[in-house]
Amino acid sequence: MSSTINGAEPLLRAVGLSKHFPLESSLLATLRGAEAQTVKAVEAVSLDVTAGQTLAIVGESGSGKSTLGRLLLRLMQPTTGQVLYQGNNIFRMNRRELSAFRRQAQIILQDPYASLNPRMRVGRIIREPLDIYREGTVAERNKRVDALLERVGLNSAHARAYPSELSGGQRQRVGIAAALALSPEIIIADEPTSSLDVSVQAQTLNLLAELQRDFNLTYVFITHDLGVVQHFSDRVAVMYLGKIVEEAPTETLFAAPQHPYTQVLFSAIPLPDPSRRVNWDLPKGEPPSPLDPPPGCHFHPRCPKVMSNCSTIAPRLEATAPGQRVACLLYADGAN
Amino acid sequence: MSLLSLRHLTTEFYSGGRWLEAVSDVSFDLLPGEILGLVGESGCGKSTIAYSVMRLLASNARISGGEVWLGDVNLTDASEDALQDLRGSRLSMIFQDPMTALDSLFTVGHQVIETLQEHLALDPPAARERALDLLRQVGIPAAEERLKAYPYQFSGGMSQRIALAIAISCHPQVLIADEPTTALDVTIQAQILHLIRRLLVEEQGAGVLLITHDLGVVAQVCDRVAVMYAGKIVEFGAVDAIFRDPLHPYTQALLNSLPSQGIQRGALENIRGRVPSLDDRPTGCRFHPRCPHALAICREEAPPLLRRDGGQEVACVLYD
Amino acid sequence: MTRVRALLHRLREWHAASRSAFLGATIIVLLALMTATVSLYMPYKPDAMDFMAPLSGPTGAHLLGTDNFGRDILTRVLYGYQISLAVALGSVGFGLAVGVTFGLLAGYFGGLVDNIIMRPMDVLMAFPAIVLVVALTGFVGREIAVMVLAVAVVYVPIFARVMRGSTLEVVNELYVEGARARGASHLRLMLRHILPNAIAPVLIQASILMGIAILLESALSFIGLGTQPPDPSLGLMLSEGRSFMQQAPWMVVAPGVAISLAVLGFNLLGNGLQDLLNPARKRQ
Repeated sequence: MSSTINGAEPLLRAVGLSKHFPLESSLLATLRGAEAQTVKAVEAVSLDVTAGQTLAIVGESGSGKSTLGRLLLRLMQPTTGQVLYQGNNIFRMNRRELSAFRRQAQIILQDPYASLNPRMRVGRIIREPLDIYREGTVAERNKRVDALLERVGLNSAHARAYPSELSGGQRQRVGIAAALALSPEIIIADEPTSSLDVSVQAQTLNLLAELQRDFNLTYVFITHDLGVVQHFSDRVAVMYLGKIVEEAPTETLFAAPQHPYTQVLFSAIPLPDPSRRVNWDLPKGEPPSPLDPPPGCHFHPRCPKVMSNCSTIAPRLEATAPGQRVACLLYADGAN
Repeated sequence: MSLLSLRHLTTEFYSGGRWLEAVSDVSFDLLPGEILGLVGESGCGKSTIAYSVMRLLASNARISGGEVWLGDVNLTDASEDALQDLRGSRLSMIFQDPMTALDSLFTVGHQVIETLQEHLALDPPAARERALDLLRQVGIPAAEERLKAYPYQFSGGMSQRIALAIAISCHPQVLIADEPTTALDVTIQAQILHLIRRLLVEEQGAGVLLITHDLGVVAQVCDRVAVMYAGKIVEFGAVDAIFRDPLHPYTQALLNSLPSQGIQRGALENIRGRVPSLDDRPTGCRFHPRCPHALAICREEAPPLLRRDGGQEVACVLYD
Repeated sequence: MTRVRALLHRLREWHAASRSAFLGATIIVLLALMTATVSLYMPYKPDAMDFMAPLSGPTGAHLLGTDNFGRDILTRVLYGYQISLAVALGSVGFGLAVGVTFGLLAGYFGGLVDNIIMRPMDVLMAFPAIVLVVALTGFVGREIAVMVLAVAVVYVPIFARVMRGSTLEVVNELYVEGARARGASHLRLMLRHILPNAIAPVLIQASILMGIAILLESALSFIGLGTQPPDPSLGLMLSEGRSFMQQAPWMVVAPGVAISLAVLGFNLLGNGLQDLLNPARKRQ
């Protein structure tokens, strides 16, 4: 694997990535010759992750953000498209290359109650990646486990505990230590703090920020919490029903969101500030079923700025400003 | 004048061979036309208060002291029959998981109509009319068809709307909402919270006890708030005052630990240590081991909740 | 000393958690100890005949009486447990090993592997157990080993099915996905992450099937297809006692009660484990 990366080349890049899940159709439907239904969880997503930065992927449930995260790690096969890690398509990698990729790309999972094997002691959980790649001797691995526990704010006594003996925040630290064990380049964090109490969430976010600084980590943060996004990320991609509708540097996006969905989303967040009231009336209706997304722009039935051609033309993600891309006919060439 | 009045409520759980206090000496009044927030981290006792008021505590829990008054009815010694009459009429509750309130075996229409017939003594056609009206009010499109649907055919947001429709159907004076939007997306959350305020508080003048861990929700929809820590109220008052000028060190730390808009990067302030468990509550002020301003006296004396100049009540010796 | 105290504490916890499991385990452990050490404390050999006292009722010398050859019934019951437990342990052990492997593979890989493994299991399961065992012992022979194998063959699909079911649940757990993302091999995922978390329902099943194996062994010996005379088997003793029911009812009562006791022990344990390992309970 080439170690000389062009500064401009992204560390991780998704190109035209799609994932469709076929739905089990009934025997009767198949006999009638009905076409098998699919859920388009992720549709034609392209994005770049720059080394050393944090990209946040934001969306509500059903937006496909978690599926996208799993595709970026080859935890599932895409329907079409590719993911390039340092220029190599991860779906074309052979065993040896894939194993090298897995060392460098790690995941932190959402629910610290479900993401740790209940029958393994904490020490074994953190040591497992080292065992898999046979790093050094067992004694060296154990020393590394102690160092990692220390690094995430636990201590070596915790190595002997089972996950059930720890609090939610402590468990998430164990998950972080396990992800760090192999000194990865990039960590994909799927809602890493959403099931934690606010004070514990703050501790965890601070830890993740410190680790990024110390190890020059690249993060992909999958979340629905815009407070976390603004605090933490360099760039943000907003997803709605499988598609990216807007992507921009964090400051730009929060200063002036362009896509109507982004605007609605931002306006619906309950800010912890009674003097800045939410606009209650903006979001209309429920998100449609991903099984049967509306034609044209998926957001048009709920969009406050809907135009006549929104139901027929699916807008493409196009640059509206340097570094900012929006998929909306309001900003398309020729629109007035 | 208060709709719901808690007087020194203490609730205990039986665990490991003894009774442990989950809620200690909590008193407050819920007024007509207000949303009162009950906020705190997990394990602070906020949901236990809700279940104590509803008298829906699990078998290993009991109210060991104090009283809860719904108007002139003392809920703490009301009979099960009397409670059954009150629940769903004068006193309603919605839960984090709306499915708790819905029976998966019956259509949504059946359940809404049944509630209406039972509590309002409406005849079937009138109940059906009223049910349709309610479904439209809570923003369910194609209400006529939706009456015939089963709960599993609804999304989380839709189910919560139905649960809300059932809860408001008999014009309750008091609604207890236990994390009603925690499982929902933000855009749906905004809609549901808005509905609660408009339908219950503004149109009916009811009082809502909103239990949440989300300070954003409190800031946006509550009029007054009680901040709870380890089973006790540590600060109580108007939302505006408390968010502008939090007095209790725990409230301050909680607000500062939020990653919020406007504060980018930089370490978030956090509270050292963690919430003590039920069987390991510190003496004196329960927050003192984690408090940056702790004094020697904090370890010995539990400060009472007292009114301060700013108008809010706070339980902390710093303000004595 | 502290070790002992810790052990006692553990036992008390188990007792508090499930009296049924505790009682079942106690019965089984006591029976196993008594039968394992029987030669140390019983003065008789199982086939030693006391010609002076055939069909003797319970006396000081023969606590449970003697049979038509004057053999001590208590001694024979205790030795009989050796065969019962050996058949139960052997068949469940073998069935467990093969069935769990099949079920784990089928549940983990799914698709074609699942079909290749599970369809023959379904066929095997469709045969009535006793017919299968009778056929096997009838054709192959009447050794204990054959009996063990025959019961095991009946058990393999049962274990495979239970294991497959619980594997299907565990395979979707987040920690399995996490381990996969770290590069864990199929083998590691199956052995380290899925097996330990999916085995509980299989162990409950195993305990109940142990009891049934004891019944099966007795039934086979009773109809003459299992243990052969003069070896002491509980089923065989029942069969032999049948002709003397009028004169010496203790000849059937003793092995009958003995069989029931062992089956009861395993069933209590199985039921208790079900309570203990029930995930709803664990979450509290």
